[in-house]
Amino acid sequence: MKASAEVLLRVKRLCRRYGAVDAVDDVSFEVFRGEFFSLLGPSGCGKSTTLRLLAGLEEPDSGEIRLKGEVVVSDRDRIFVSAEERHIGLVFQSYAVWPHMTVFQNVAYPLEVRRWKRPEIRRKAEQVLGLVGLTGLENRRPAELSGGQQQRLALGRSLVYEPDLLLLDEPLSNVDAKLREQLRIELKKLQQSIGITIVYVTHDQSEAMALSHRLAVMNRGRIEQIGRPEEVYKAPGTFFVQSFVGRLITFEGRLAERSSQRFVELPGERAIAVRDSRAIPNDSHVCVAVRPEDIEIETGEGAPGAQALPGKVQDVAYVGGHYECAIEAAGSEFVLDMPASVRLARGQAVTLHLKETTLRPR
Amino acid sequence: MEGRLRSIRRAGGLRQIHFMGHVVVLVSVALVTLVPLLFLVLNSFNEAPLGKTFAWGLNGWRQAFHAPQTLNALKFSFLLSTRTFVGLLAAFVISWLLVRVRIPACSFIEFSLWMAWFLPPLSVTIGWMALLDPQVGLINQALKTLSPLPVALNIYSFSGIMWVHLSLLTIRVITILFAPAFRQMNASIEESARSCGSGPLKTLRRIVLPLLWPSVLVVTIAGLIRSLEAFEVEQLIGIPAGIYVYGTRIYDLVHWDPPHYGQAMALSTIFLGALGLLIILYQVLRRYGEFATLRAGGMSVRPALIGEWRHLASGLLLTWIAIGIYLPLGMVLLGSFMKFFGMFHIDQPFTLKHWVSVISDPAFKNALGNSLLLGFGVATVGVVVYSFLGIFMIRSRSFGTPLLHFLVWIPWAIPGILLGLSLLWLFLSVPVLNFFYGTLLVLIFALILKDMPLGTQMIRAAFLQVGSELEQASRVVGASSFMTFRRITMPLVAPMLVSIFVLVFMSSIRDISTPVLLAFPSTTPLAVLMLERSVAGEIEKASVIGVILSGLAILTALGMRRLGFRLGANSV
Repeated sequence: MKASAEVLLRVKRLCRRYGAVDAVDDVSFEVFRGEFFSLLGPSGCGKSTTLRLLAGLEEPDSGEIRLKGEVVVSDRDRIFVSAEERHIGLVFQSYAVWPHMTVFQNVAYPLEVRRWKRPEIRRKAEQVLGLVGLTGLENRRPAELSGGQQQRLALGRSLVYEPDLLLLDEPLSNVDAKLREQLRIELKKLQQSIGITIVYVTHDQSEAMALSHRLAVMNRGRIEQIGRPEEVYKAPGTFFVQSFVGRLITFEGRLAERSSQRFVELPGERAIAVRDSRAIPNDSHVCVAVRPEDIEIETGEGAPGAQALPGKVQDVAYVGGHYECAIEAAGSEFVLDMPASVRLARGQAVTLHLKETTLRPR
Repeated sequence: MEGRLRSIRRAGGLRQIHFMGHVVVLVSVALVTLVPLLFLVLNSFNEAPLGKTFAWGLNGWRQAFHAPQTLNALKFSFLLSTRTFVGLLAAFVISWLLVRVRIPACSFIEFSLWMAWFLPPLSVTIGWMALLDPQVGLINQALKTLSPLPVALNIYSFSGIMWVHLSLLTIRVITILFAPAFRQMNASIEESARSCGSGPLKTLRRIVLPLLWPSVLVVTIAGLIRSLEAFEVEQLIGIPAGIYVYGTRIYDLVHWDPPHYGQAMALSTIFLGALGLLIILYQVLRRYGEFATLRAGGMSVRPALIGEWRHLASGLLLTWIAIGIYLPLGMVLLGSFMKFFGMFHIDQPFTLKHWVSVISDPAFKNALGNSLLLGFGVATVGVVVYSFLGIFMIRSRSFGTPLLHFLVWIPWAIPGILLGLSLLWLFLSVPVLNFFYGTLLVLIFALILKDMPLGTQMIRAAFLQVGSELEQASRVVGASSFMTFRRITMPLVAPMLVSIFVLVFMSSIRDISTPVLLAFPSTTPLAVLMLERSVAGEIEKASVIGVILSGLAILTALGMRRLGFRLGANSV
């Protein structure tokens, strides 16, 4: 996204409490026109509530939402524009397609509400049904559609009135793995072709990474980090982001200093050098975290080095295309993918070279 | 742009309106459910006759504790309520067989139990009188010729009352209460016990029973409350044996000349106290029970295996239903065509004259008209009122919502005769209300109140089923609340509303205990006319009315089954 691009959605200091729980806690972000923006986080992190606040289905306790520069929610000015007047599209996780209406009626409804003329409704609905690949199914009822088709219908219904902003609440979580991949590709193509702005909620980090221009990682109602997928993965701002986005292998130990070089002493009288500038006092318990792709494996007992750890293969499983090896090293057990060309056997000794590590207090 | 500005609403202002609305609804419901009962308690201390100013005194209470029949009524009410425990045991096994074992013919059995809900208990009772009258009862005549010993079964006895209740009402009611508890239990819980090597009986004892224990307690209390409601069965077969329960005793006291209102009110107050305890227990247990039921995802109900036993179980249940429901029903049908009820040995025992005389009787025509007016009135107004309450309960989340739930539920626990008595006094003595006394409107009001718990609960369930997301989806695409209600909500709940309409209609035209004290000769509905005819000894004529009401009930049940409707837990 270019810095000069128009800001379509601006969320400022949004808060929503349920009883004693801060479902959404001081959330602020901006979404640019034409952007695919994701809210990523574990279940219960507040991402769906944020989406419902954007749609106008919930009222925030405080904060402000601006859409195309206009205030739609503000606690200070006591403004709340209701859901039906925001001109936003929303695809529910359950799709919420109306079971008593046909496919055509579902898509035509938003236009009827807007008092379009009949021939125009027909033309527009047919165009949108073509766009989402449901041509020929106009007279079916939702019960006669597959899960994927229902999902497309929900999408078509939200696109037909050309909303400024489309909100998607885990739209792919109810379809099976193969279909999910296909729908993901279709969704990305669709977004590129019509250039609509999307806010997408998901707990699946690979989905968020593959689709988004930028994403916000949420935890316990707060946004921990906002950035492009590569930024979030490579330069995680917090330990939560690091562990939630991508896989992470951790070793627990104690921080020590020898001749002005800092080490982490691990179980089994092993130590690895760390060059982390973080101000963690010596002698404290710490975690050494490393991405799987930053571990190089050497068979046998390789040359000891400051970043090398001896390990032992616990189990090897062929999963088609590559092997998964369970490896034990310095008190931790984890699984690494090995290419089919490298044959490891159970019980074999290996040496792990840790190329990139980060240090966290425990 | 102007449209936008106009539509912006000030947040916060609506909350206050909402709060006031909540208070208004709460107070209105409290007025109609609690005030009649308070009136009843208050007037048990009133010595003045009806229409005179209140005169404080304990005369009613004194009389109640000195009249042997009143004390007897208390004793028998208590003794007869013990049938709940017998019913509980049977119902537990039957629900397990129906829901979890899926024994052969289980859907027919379920339908029969379900259909019996619509039947007026009185018509089945009349059937039993034809079968078990000590002199002319068909079964007793058969016993006389077949058995060498002089044995005779007497329907007019304590065990006779027990028998009619158990075979027709108690077990069926508790079975319908139990079935959902079984349906909620995931089949894999039982199956994993079976695969650990425990047999079906051991699984039942060690796994199923402990898990369902909270439900068992709740159902017990519910059954006890229901058992105190009995009226017409005791009126018909208890009084010839000198057995009074408090319901029939109140009816008796009110029909004295002059009526003993004070004593009736005192007796009612005692029962209200007992019910109050049960209600508190019920509410506490129900909350605990909800907590304890398993609501894990992937509810699956798979048939449990009990081998060849299931054929035997099915056979036994079918026999029970044939004897308990279809045999007496057939007898009523037969009896309505007989010159003298139950007399098969006379020359040409069959005749159409009772049908002719009943149908040409102006009282019958009047009662039929009353019943239809009553049914349509209660169902139409009821569905509107229940819809309002049901939707209100779903939408509002405030401090008063649990209280509202409780208030709406109260009439479920109040026996019809008690409700009738309290409303009778209310409509007689309150200045504006007495204008309506003696009209059909009083009966309509009473029955709307009586069916409120069932109706509201079912409508609430229907609207919950529609799912708020379907409505929210409509709001998001730009439809107003009104449009959403008209185009999305209403079409989706309409089939359910039709079912509830029919259910309330049937329930109000077959009810006897609620309208019996409120009806005038000109406002008597069919069911009450049937009671009057049978109490007056005109059993054949009562049978004709019984056949008409039962036929209507069976047709309704069949029609509703066509619509795919199931009677749920809260509808007993």
